[in-house]
Amino acid sequence: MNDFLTLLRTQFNNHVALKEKRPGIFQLLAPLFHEDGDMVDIFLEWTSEEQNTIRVCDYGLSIMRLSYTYEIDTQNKERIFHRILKDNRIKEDNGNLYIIAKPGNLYPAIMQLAHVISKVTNMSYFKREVIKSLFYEMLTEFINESLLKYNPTHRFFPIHQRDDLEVDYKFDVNSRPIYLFGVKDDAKARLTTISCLEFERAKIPFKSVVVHEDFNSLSKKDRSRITNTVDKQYTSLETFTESAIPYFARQN
Amino acid sequence: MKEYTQEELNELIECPKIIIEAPSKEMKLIQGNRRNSMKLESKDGEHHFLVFMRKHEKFAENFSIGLSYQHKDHRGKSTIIRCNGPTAHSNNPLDCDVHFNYHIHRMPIEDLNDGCEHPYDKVRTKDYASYEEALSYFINLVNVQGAEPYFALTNQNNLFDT
Repeated sequence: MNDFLTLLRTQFNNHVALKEKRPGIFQLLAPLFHEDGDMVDIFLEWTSEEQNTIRVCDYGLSIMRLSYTYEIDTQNKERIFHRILKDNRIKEDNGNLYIIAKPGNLYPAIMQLAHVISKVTNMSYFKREVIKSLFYEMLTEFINESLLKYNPTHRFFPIHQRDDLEVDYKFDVNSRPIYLFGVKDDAKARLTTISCLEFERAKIPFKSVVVHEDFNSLSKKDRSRITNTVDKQYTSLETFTESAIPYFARQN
Repeated sequence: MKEYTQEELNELIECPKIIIEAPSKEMKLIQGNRRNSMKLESKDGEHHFLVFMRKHEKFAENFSIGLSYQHKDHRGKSTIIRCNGPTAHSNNPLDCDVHFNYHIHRMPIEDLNDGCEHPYDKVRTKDYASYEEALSYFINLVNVQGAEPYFALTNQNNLFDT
């Protein structure tokens, strides 16, 4: 490994070292950091001395770090994760991200892996920011793609004299129409609760369905009020898109 | 969007909390690391938190125990404090000043108000020297009440106390 250290030192302008983490496993100390200042975990170990190849890997520490705040626990997330790896020629074995390199390719292999580690550990940022800013757009897109056969009416006013009580989408199903509300924050949760209570008071037949951006972000009191009022809730857009089609089919 | 003060941030860390979703009896081995988590609520019911506990299966020194706070507005979650093992870190990455010691990450108040997810400030600690000790230290630090049934907390005196 010392020869490679000399080579790496040249390529990293001397800002690199190797520390033996365990016998035969060397941790790379290089100026590659996560957002919180922790160094990116990259290890080097011989894959095969005969073939002169080195595994540059992270021993699953990137996925462990990602799991602090984000789980790859749905098919969509798995798909995105594997797409990141595949597009960047990184392999994965039980969470261990790795690339096999010859000594002459160590530097680009390390940079390639560091680049992918950055993308993987930032999966949570991307998804969160996209959803936070595009919640209603994504809800609309899903409805227009998957629930058109139930004739959705956007911005429906069940009580003509009350233009302050608006339903995001009305759907025609056999039993009773579904009134669907997209709820992003406490204010919308309260408005939805008030609207549903007023519709009940007016003896309008309907079934209320709420799709939350993030149910847990609501205050305790608003969670309680809306849960006690509406008929059906989806705690996130993701759970709605996974379950809506069979749900609507059962209502028909 | 709410602007927190340092006092409010300190209170979020230190306020008494109860467990509303208990941790699993055993840490689950997933993709080479052991994981557990629990949900907490402040005793007054106003604030919600997630605790994550992670320990690498092969490298026992690579562990992390953190407290994530659920903002009440659109900012999602921020990890406001996190106890780590002796892994490489830097307070000045541009200076490549790297340390290997047990350290605690804390969220700077400016970053919390910006909705940052990860705590940047790091302080070396001598208060624990293993995952188990760190867990015990963390439970006390963030004031989780009624944790005894769920964790074998270490209450032993320091062998090296004089």
